Amino acid sequence: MEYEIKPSEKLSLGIEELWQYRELFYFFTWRDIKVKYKQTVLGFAWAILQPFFMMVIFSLFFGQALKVPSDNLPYPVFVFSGLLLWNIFSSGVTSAGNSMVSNANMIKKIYFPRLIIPVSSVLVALFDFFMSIIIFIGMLIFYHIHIEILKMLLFVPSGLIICCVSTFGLGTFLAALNIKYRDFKYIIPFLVQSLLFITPVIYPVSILTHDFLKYIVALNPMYAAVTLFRSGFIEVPMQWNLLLISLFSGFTFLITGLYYFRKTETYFADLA
Amino acid sequence: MKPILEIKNISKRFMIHHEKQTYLNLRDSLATLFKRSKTSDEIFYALDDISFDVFSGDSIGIIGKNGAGKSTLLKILSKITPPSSGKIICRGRIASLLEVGTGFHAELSGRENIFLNGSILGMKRVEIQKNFDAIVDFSGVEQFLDTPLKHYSSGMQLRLAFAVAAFLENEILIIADYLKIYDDFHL
Repeated sequence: MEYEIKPSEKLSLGIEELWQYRELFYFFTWRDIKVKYKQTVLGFAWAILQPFFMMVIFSLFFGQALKVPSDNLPYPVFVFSGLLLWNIFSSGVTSAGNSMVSNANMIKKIYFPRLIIPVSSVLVALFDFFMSIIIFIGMLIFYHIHIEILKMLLFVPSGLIICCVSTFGLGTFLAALNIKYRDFKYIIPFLVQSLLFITPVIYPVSILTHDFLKYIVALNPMYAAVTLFRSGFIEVPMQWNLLLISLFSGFTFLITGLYYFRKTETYFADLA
Repeated sequence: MKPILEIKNISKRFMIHHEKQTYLNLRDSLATLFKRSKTSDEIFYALDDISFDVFSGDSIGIIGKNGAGKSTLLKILSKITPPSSGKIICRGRIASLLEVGTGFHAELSGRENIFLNGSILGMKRVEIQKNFDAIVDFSGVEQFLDTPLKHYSSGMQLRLAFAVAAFLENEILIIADYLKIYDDFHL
């Protein structure tokens, strides 16, 4: 085995190297999940309780009080299906975005492909998703939602994939920016909070009367994720132009994020 | 026989900013897009044209004053930071111990930290499992294996970290400030 250490080489994804270090994905994810619920009485139940109470609050105030329409679904099911994906995005982007800074000590002392850290952050968020999906299945049964298996198997995973792709894309981009410009420590929470309002989690896109507003929502990659995911349970005509814009935006995030991260990662240790 | 490490004309440059602002921020970077900043930059060579060979079986010590560039050289060898120029040819797996217990997490137990630290240092899970009993034995903290690391004394933490590192089987081992533990604990 012979290899060279040189000044920054040409840009590549480094899949081969990531494969070599594949066990670290597991260990970092495992570490973060363990640490997250250490010294708590309720433990993993928190992963379920948080979205559950969010759903209850949204259902009471937006569903009951404000009578927000919900595309033929009971409002709690509607909002929970959105929240499931939204939580992957918000916790994934937040923790991935801060991951390089919070792991700075390690980055300065040992080498491993840096990309493993933001990937693990998304995997942790995905773990929480799979915990809370138990409640969602319960709700589907409780509200007697009619499900076409084939449709669900097609749309639910595709929504989930888009969600992970855009979470990971934006997360890595922010992680790389954050280590250079600590301004992003303040931008990230603000960004995530504002994106919730332009994602159809609480309301359906159909209540937007202005075309302009619809296009703004479509620029958000989470529009496609939530819409596709929900299509597994409801019959709503697809707005293909909005969906395509949103998918395009999601993959743009992924490519930009990965490109910028790989381009700057060799200097992370000098900047951290 | 070919050397296991060939260090060829390695240099590492840093920019020293002479201004009150010591860290980057977005506003300033944007501002400098429009006007040239008035800061002066000085190029500082932490390492300047270093070359040497290491053969299999060699033990090499690097001695120097503070700021001489010892750690920078080791960081380059460990791939943590790239050299500004020159290259290094390696013919073996490198393990680097620049810090005692890299990746240790205070909330995790001793057992969990052995696995975490071991895998961060580049051991495979099966390797750690195979050596687990020996690591525990060597560390002498068997009784507290399931206690969170935050409750360990600093001495116990050091011993645990050292025990994991002792089972690395890489061809090249880079060690900084590590061996003083030998003296501290009469290992």
